[in-house]
Amino acid sequence: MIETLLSLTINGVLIGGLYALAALGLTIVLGVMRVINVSHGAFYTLGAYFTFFFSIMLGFNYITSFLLSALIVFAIGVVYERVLIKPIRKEELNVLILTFAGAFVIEEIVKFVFGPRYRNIPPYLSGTVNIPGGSVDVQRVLSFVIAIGIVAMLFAILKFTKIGKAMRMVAEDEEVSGTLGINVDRIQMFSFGFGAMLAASAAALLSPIYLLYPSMGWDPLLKAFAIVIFGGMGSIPGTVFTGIIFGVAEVLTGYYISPTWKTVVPFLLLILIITFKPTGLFGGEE
Amino acid sequence: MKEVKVSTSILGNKYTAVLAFGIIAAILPLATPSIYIIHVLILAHIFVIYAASWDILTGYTGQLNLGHAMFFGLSAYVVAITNTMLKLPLILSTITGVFSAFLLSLVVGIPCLRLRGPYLAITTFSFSWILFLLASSAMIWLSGGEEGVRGVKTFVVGSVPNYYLSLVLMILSVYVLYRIASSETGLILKAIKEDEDAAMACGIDTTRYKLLAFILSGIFAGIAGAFYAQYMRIVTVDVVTLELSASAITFSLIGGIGTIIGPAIGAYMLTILFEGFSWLADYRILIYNLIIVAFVLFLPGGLMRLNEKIGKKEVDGDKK
Repeated sequence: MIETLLSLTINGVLIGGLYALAALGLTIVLGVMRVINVSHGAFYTLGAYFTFFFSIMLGFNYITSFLLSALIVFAIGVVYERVLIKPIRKEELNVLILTFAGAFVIEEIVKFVFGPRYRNIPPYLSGTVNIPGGSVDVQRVLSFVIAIGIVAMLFAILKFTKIGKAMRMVAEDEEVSGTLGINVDRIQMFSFGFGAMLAASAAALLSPIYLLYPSMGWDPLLKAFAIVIFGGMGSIPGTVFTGIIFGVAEVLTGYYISPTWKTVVPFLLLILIITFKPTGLFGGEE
Repeated sequence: MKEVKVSTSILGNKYTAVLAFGIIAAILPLATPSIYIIHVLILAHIFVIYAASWDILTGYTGQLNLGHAMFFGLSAYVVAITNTMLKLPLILSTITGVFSAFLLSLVVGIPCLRLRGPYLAITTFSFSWILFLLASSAMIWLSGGEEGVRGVKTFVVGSVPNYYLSLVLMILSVYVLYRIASSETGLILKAIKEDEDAAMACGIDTTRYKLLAFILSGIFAGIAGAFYAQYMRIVTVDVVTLELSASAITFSLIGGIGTIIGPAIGAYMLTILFEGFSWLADYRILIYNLIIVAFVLFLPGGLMRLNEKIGKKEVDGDKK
């Protein structure tokens, strides 16, 4: 009993780490640009399909496919920001509407290129590790480790590098950073691409677990929203922690209640928190 | 400010336009032998109500609703389920359906009252997503999933009677929404959109008016959904999809957000275009959303605004 619970929790944490990765991309864009990117899920879809394209259609190995996919989605994100977001960035309502529509456009393009049917990517690593109460795939553990590695790298970039410091500065105060000689436009463009890349990385890591289909991005998008709001908008530790909680909650609901309800749970949690404490669990005052 | 001017500037030929439309719409079924054309027009009437109801909340009040299909879909499902499974008379089902959309507008509206911008968009989005998840998987025993709920009764039998019924319903709904929007209430809603704090400082109870906009929006979308259910006689997951929510935005953007009439015209045009040319159907979602992108970037005022832009270029001062 306890062992089942433990094993489920470990599985939840492993998935949750990847959710946190996807949500972090949203957090960064939100923090640096004050923009909610509804296309985030579409970048997730793109990440998964590029991984599929390189690993299955071209036969590259998994790591190469993963890196190529992340880089391409980064580039797409940069162009997307420059062409579509920048001209209207100050108009919050329009950005939301545009990125909502942009997500559909990307989804439809994916559907035309790859077809509407389900695809899958075989596990990149086989074998299991024994844990109390069962076992988990080595692949899931490794994906989790990679995700945590990326999060740690992100921390290091924000903390120590010049561009990371500039990003934090822009997040703090856009106008002042401009007067201090930071190229705000370029930092924002970079941040947007970076956010897209994080979505793509999460997708590449999750795609051997879940199926691929053109509208696959909406679910992680909404989960990422829920995680970001729950974790207090813009807080990175809050986002990571909440991501993991969501993963655990999902696995537990799937096991103890029903697998079809597990997808509904994050949104019920979201509505609860948005009703009672919109600043999130870790957020301060409004 | 300018928007108010627009509605008065086209006031002159407005009545003739409405009258002409009314006459053409009234005699059209007599002129066309095609049931399919009539079917397309009925759908157009339904979507006109749907688009106009989105506009009162988002276009007028500035409260971005990314999940408008939830009102339409919930009402349609409730009508279908109460009518087929609980065997309620259709009129009672319809009332229950619209009432459920009203309740949903309260459930969504009340927490949204103190939320702004992105929170509101995400909340409405999440609500509609929950409804979609319930209808497509978690509560499939009730919704029938892709199969849907079949065998809903209809008020009137046949295309032509349904055509007239939908026409009357559409004209009434658009008229009511338009009157509200052009009244003092509409002005207050616009004030909330422009600057909520300033409106509050003027002594306007913004909470009350925002809730009113939510309720109106929910009820009229519910009416559209209820009519859809009884006309189609089948309700499937299609009525709660994100695509349907996005189409409310497309209709409104192409016509002109915040004008009621604009979204109505947008819904009419696009529905006829896409239902009329079925080979376009595969590209519908793509084109709808490209339209949104293009209009947001290049013509945020929609076609209504374009008309005005050409009409009087000299007053192009206060905005941009």
